[in-house]
Amino acid sequence: MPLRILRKNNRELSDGELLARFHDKGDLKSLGELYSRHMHLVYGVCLRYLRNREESRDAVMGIFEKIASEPERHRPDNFRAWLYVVAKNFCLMAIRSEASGKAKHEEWAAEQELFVESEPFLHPVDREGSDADRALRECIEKLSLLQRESVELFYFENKCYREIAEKLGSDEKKVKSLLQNGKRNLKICMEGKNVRYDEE
Amino acid sequence: MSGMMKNNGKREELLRYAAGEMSDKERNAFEKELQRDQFAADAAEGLSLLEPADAASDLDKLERRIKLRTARNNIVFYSGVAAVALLFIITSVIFLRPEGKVGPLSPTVAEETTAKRGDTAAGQDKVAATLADTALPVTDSVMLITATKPVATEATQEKSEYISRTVAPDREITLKDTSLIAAGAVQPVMIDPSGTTLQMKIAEDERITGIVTDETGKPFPFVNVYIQGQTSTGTITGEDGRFIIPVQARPDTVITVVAEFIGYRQLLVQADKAEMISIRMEPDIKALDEVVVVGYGEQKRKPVMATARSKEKNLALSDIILTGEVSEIIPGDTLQPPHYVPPAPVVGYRAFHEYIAENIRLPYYGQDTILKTVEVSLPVSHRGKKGTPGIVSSPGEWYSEEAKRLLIEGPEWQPAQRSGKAVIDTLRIRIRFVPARIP
Repeated sequence: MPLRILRKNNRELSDGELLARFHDKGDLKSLGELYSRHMHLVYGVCLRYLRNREESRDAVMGIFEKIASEPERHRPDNFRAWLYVVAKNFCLMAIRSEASGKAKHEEWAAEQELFVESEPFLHPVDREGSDADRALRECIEKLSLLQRESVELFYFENKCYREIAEKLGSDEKKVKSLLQNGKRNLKICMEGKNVRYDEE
Repeated sequence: MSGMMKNNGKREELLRYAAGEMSDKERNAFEKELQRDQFAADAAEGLSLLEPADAASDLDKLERRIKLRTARNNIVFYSGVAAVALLFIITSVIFLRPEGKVGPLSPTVAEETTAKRGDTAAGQDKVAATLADTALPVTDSVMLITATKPVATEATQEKSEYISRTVAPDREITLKDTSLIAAGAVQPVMIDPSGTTLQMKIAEDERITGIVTDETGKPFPFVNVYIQGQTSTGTITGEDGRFIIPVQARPDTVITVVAEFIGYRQLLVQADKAEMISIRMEPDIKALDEVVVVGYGEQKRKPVMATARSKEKNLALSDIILTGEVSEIIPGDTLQPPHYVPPAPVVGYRAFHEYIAENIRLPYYGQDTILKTVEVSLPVSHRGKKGTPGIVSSPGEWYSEEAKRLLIEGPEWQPAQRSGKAVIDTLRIRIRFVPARIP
């Protein structure tokens, strides 16, 4: 596993420091700066769920107001991960509260079903520099044809979703779900083999 | 989850990825990161729905908004909270004014308002001024929560624009704890991230019911009925001409119901939730020659167009009504209304009609002699990619599946355009299952 270099920049404060400034001194500007750092992600998530540019922009502002208005309640250790949950829930709520949201909600729910696992986890395959050891290899062999193809093309041949989709005569969405389901099966298989990877 | 990603560099990378500017090698490397980072993966998916230039300019715009927002409110830490509450009240006022409903000011709430005014005066001069200008029916405000969203999106004044950016979260806060706020506890209310508590509160289960008849007084099925100003809150009348629209508004808000049917004059009726409303449609003579008229219910009212297309081999005739959902324009964004062109089938509408007519299937069971309509929503990305069709309304599972199949297997789409640029949009497509004449 490669070294994780903590972000220490003299000019720039870390997420945690900015958050602390907001919490301790009520410095809204710090929160704004912190939020801006992650805004492209928040905006993207909003677009994904709301599928509407204007609504998404409103949501980005709304999410900011939300985190600004609940300072005492949350002191997340990992602001970024927390923000993801907040943003996602905000969008889901917006979808639910909207009458027209029904269709949208069903739409993404159906999409979600494609993915057996909705919450991602740090998977053995995803570990950087993972030498596909023997157990992994064996497990990959056991995958369904399409899942195996996808996993191999993606991780061993370094093909992007688009290329894989082309190769399998499918689309990117399907490839993503093949990968996710493939990884899930791999995990189950690996656990069966009692191969353990330490957390972190 | 990996929270260690450096974001400043990531932003450009994400945008490049979403814009499709990376080489396949780069894409794979980036996608491997996405596999470990669901936040970024979701964001990449969302951003790739936009034109690259739009994505970048939107983000810049948002960044400016945040700067503006934080500069304005940096004086008192809690003023942000109070301001949101205040703005929310003002929004309600703006919403109420056109309706001419100015309720009496209850003493408790009046006190509360004064207090809030005092608290935030320092940081919120502008807002306070607005507040002072308005005769405040504060009693109404707490109830009107669900109405803030439409107000926000449709607002055209500068003030409202500011509100539209800031008021959204408060809607939830207030929803969860209306009584508290009314009683004077303007503390930030924690929102359960799972959102379950809130959802129940939202569903107030108010509804408007009514019946639509045609010019002869007979029940009129398939009429489009919706709440004015909220085209998305609506339905289609059933075979008996009846409809039910769930609404979220306080009891004595004036709600206007719009009834539309092609070839008929659009009617606006003020609705009272307590009573069933009855709407009588009248044909619009002018409209008749420019639209497709579809028969409904009885066989003799044959669709004009469909008859012309009717080939004996077809089991079913169909008609499609397409409506692009034009999303509201946020003021300050574009000064003049953008030129909007809805998505269109690549093969053209005529061929699309033919495709539907040739491929549509009717259920085998029984002698289904009644016309059925399925309304489907179809997202079309700015690259013309079809999304998953969603059912807006349908007489039954069988029809839903058939309508979806037709769209999924159907022709590709030209993306919608706004001011000459391809944009993502969601189409509403109505597919009618017209029983063929039995030979």
